[in-house]
Amino acid sequence: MAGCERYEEMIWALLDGDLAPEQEAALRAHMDGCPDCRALYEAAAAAAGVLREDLAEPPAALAEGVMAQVAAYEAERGEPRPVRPVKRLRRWLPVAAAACLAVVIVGVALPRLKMGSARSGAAADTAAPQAAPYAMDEDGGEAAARSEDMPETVSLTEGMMDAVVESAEAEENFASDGEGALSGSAADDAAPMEPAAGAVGYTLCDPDGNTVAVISDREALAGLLRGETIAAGPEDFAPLYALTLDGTAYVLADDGAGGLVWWIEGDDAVTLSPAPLSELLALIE
Amino acid sequence: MTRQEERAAIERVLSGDADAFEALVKAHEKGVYNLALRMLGSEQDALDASQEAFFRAYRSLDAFRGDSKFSVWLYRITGNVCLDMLRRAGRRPESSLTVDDEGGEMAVPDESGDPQRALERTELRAAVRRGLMTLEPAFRQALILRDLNGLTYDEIARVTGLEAGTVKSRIFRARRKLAAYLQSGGNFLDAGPSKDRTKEKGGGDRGRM
Repeated sequence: MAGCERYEEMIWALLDGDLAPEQEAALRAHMDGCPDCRALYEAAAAAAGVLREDLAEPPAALAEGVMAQVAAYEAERGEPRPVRPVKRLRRWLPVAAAACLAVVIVGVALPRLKMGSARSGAAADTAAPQAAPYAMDEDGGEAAARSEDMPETVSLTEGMMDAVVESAEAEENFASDGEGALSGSAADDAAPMEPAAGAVGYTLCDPDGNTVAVISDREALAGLLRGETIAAGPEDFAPLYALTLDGTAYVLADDGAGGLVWWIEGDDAVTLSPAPLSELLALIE
Repeated sequence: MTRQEERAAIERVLSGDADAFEALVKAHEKGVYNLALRMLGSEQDALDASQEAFFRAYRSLDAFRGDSKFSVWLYRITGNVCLDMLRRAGRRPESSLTVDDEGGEMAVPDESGDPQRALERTELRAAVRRGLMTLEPAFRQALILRDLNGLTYDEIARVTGLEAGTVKSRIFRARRKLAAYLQSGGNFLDAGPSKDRTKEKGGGDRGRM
């Protein structure tokens, strides 16, 4: 269909009900003389029609099963939920200080840190005086002992989480009022970054509180969290990160398809699409 | 269920009335189930995925902010569950994830009084189902969300975390590939007698059903 590319675009717009009348007339005139385009349109329209109309009725078992699961879940939740140790996590997860707001990133973070900051053009070695070894409660000793297995442990501090959240909010503000400047952004006090439009500094610290890197914007951080390589590991998903918030450990791993997998300790994996950071935060807030 | 009723049901669930969740399930099970069915290609897997999606939604309901439609939020969870299942199935070939023919459903003609048309319709449906399964899961997801669930490109972008432009190009590619699958004929009209028709007709008409 050489030369038909623009008509193909119009075919898709027509299927979306989004083609201006005069363009539709032009497309239909073209299709009258172009069997290839007509065939493409007819096949695609037929497929779209089937997708729209070929709907199955959900079996009654669906809702029944969900509500049974819900009931069982609530019955179990009536009692205090025990912290369930999970074998595949224990090996590497430097868990869970109960009141800890620190976010701990474990594993192969450093190579990606560099990648992330390079992508964003941020100076990774700009030191930011963000505090923060991750906080320890009485479980902390054990957690620390376990984390010794890990080659590198990097923590995102509480301020960073705020920065992430504020960054997300700032984006909305940016979208709504067109102003790029952020007020009250975590960048103001967390990192000495240029207050560029939408920019927030994320300080990554190691467990001793030493700054490992400063990442300039949310996209770079999201890219970092997405990760682009999978850490070697025998499990279904090689864990890349552990996030500990309010005593709950969240585990993140690359899903191998451009997204993130995460799960709460003891639960099954949940797949997140790329750029899942705000979604993750929404779920764990 | 209006959006207000939906919001009220969500509030009831959040305030401890777990049974109120059933109305939400009932209101959205069709969209969720059919999304899962077309993603996974099997009724049993679609049932499992739908239940898992609703249960996950229940557990994280307090994270639903109401910024997007509840249905869109559910579809995101459903899509994630499905992609998860597909990935696991890919890693474990012995998995039960296979495309089944949904024979019973297919046998029900929906065009009255015209057996030939009913047959074509049935064949077309089967071909579209098979063709969908030839798409990459992420592309299939985008296409289904658009054409089956009726989401806008922006909503799909939110579901998938992709740029709207990327969503568009994925959907266009998926449509092109699915159309090509239907046009290719071999797999399309493989239900027996109608095979002859493809020879009689010109290639340009093959997609017309």
